[in-house]
Amino acid sequence: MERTLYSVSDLVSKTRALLELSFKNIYVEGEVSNVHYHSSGHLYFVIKDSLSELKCVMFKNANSILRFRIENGMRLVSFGSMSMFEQRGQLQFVTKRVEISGIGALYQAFESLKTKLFNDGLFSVDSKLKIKQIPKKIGIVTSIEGAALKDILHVLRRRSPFLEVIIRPAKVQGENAAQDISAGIIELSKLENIDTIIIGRGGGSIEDLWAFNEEVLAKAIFKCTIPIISAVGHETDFTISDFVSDLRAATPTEAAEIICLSSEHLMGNILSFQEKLINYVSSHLKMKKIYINNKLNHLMLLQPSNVIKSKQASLGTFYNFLVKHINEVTELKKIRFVGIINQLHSIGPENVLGRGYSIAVDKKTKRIVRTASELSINDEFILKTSNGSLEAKKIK
Amino acid sequence: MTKVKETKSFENIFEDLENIVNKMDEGEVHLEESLELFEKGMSLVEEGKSKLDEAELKIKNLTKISKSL
Repeated sequence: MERTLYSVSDLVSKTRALLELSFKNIYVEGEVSNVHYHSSGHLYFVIKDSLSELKCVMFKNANSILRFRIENGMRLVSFGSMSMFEQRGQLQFVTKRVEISGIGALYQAFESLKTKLFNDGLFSVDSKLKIKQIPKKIGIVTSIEGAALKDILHVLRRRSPFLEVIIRPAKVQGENAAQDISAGIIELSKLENIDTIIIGRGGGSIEDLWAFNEEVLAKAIFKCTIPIISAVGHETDFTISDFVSDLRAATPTEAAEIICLSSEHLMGNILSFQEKLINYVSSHLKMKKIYINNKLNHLMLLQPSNVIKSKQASLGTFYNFLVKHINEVTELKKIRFVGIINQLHSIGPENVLGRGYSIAVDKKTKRIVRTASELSINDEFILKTSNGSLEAKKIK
Repeated sequence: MTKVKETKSFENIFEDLENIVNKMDEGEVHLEESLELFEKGMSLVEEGKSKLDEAELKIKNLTKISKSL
């Protein structure tokens, strides 16, 4: 057997040429790891699938026009040629362009499904069901271990602990997740008296959230006759289920906040009802009391004893009037009488006596002695002065 | 766990209270009726209050239910 002996560099160089000829301008897809932006401007990374990995290089001029930064974990479709780093005899894929395979493809799928479902009327405002402000029983379709469920229950315990919660655990990512969530919705809608359903999950990559972008779930949401709140990922994540459902919550926490009025709110409402009831009844009672009092007063006036009393009262007034009148008349007469008496006094003998005169009165006959001759010698007489009487005898 | 007796939901309580207050608002009820409404209303208010005070989130896991059924 003839021996062909290659020098290392020769063999490597020939292999390189062969490789470059056979695998020129091809696409390869895999997950990125070991990303290294070298100071030289070149970019090194590894793409792999479940069985193999492949070193990639993207030279300065190629990666300078990249519109995004390549990160570990990304799924990329890399365009370029197989080659070899000769000094090390190492295979490498010289990358000219890359696209994010996952997002690119998924985004396209998302957009086309969105358009299709929009045209089918699944997003129409008219088909949205109204969410009850105060539900009694709610359903949740989500992962039993997920942060979303913890967040929701935490908020509900604090805000609306009077609710009944039925949890339908479901796969929220990976194969058949959309089918499982759909089945969950259907199961919950068959139960009695569920007022609102929350479907959702916590944040993740677009692939993680993908179940919520699938048509089967969109249709299950649309068909469900119970209002559904969709709460998928973070505020910036929009999924098809957000568009189809009756209400979108930015996050699972928000879903728990909008699904029901809070205890505090309800207590406020109850207290205002209580105040109204008390006000109504007390004002009603007051009005009735006034009405009854008026009637009572009216009746009292018409009672026979009161009629008599009022007649008596008017008689009394009349009597008083008369008495007063009589008194007045009498008083007047009295005054006039006193006047006359005073007049009499002024012209009577007392005044004269006061001036020093005196009156002689026969002791026997009691007559006033007007002349000395009316008395005989030794006749006794009385001399009346202003302040007393003297007894006297005619001597001559 | 003790079996909780079926009580009115908050929605029903508020609906009933709303109706009662509206009726009283119309002002055409007799005193007796208004007292009756008041009593009914106040018992709804008390029911609501105690429900809010005593409430504790009731959680059921559907898979566990179906397993037990």
